[in-house]
Amino acid sequence: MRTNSKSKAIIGFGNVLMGDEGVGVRAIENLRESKRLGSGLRRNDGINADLLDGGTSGMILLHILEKYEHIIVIDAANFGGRPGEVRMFDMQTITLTPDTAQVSLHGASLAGVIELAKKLSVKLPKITIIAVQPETIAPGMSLSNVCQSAIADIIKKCRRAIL
Amino acid sequence: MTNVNLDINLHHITRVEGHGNIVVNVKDGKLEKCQWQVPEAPRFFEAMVVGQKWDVIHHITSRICGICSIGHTLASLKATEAAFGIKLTERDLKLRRLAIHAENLQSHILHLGYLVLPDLMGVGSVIPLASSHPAEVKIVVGLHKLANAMSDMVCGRTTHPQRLIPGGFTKVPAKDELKKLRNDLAGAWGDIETVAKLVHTLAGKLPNFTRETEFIALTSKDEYAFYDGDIGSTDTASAPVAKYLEYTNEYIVPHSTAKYAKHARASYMVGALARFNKNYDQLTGKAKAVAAMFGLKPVCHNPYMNSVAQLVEVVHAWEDTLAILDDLAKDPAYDSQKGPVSFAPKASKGAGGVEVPRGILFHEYTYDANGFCTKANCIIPTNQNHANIQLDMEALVPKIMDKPQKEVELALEMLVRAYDPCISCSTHMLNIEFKE
Repeated sequence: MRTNSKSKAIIGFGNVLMGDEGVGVRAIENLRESKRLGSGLRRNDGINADLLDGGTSGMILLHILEKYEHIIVIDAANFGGRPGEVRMFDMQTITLTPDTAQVSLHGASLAGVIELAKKLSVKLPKITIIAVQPETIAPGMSLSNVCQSAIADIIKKCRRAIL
Repeated sequence: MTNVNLDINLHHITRVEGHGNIVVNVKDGKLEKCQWQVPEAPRFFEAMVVGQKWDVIHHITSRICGICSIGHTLASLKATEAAFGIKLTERDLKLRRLAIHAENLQSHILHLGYLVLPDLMGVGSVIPLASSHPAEVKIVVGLHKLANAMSDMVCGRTTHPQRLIPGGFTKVPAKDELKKLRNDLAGAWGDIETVAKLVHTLAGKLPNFTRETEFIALTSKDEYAFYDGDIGSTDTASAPVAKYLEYTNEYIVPHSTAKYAKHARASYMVGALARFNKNYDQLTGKAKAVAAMFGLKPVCHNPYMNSVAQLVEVVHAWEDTLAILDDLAKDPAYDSQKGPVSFAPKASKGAGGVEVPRGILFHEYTYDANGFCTKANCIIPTNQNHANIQLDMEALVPKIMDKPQKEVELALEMLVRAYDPCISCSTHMLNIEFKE
């Protein structure tokens, strides 16, 4: 992962081998493609954001917290929405309840990473979460139709978040 | 012990990757049930790469795991390279060794610092440890960050590498980047020593339990094998990686959906302790000194010492990385190679094996004449360890069943965590609730 001292980063997490679980990474791929084509989050648009593929390695987040003033996390999340629904939250407005990875810290336990960072007196950036309610989490390299359709909404919310 | 009764049902053992359950029933001093249950999702990796072309397969397999993504990439590349008869250059072989060292450093530091130390210090996780021992946890975080930076430099990412491709690399680090890495690593020795001393002060809390077993690891006459070698055993002769199925002998048990494995005995162990036991003589000097500090000698049959063997390997990987970086710095032809070696795909079959943090990992692919995969097999280290965990538990419980149930539970959990199992990296979805 290439990072630098830019003030804002958008990081997508997830396993692209597990269908909608990989929606965060798929969104980053889409954002990068938009950037390449000149229609997306280009620096010359005045938008200064690094695009990071976090994959299934959540501990990466711990090491980049101090590099940015604002981090936007895109991830599949269970928030009781309809499949494909995209919601944007400020980290302070939600509670992350125990998930499968929170027990290990090997995986992407956002709550665990933030908690650890606080204990270590790491200066936390503003954190915005763009959550996508998945439809299908099962072996497969494609997103469901509803989550594929949600990519446009994710990008729209990314624009709003970093402006 | 005739009136001893235990009813242990530990679901989703904490601080291991994925889900595993420990179920133990003791009635009137008699062990009635003792199971290491692994409700792993059916393997799907093989099916996903079938039909794919040789140039994307390693990218797909790198997504199997967020911890062992470099290892899965390398095993995949080596299988493809074996199939097509590709021979890498000396420079690229050295860089591949840096990649596997980076991953082992990343994972071992994370396991020792975030998962083992809490056990030894009697706390539930690294979070309270960060309150009670912030300086030590910051050192662990710093070392982990340095290993990530090393991976980033060599592989193009801290995880899910991009630059590693069949035949070599798309891009290699510049020499001044390697120089900076060397300086950073050299400056980290004091931190590694601090962690070693901390673990040493707590090592008395590692249970003293032994059960003789077979250890299997890559082995080579040239080096302490991580990247390349034959399959070695502490019980039998070695054999080329292409014969891996003669070693793994997978089978199914009723209480687990993950496959078990066995070779010369009813079970075998892979991982840091297996490598240490098989290849001790080839460790670096400082690594041997750390092993001596703990009294760790081959062949050690105490599975709890796997964590100490990981620490020894951190030191070895650190020292060997410095040596490789020195070699690369002296190579006048470093910048003359402009890309991967050329090759032609062909109808063929090839197997690749590497030592990832948890042990020996095998990938094998069959390709058609156009370079499309028609058959794939992937055998991960954790599955090779399941039978050994099960038999360790069966031997351990009768020895400790008269202790309070909480102590028995902790000893069993620590046993499982010592193997550092990676049961499933498949999902990690967030659960979100709105604050009232």
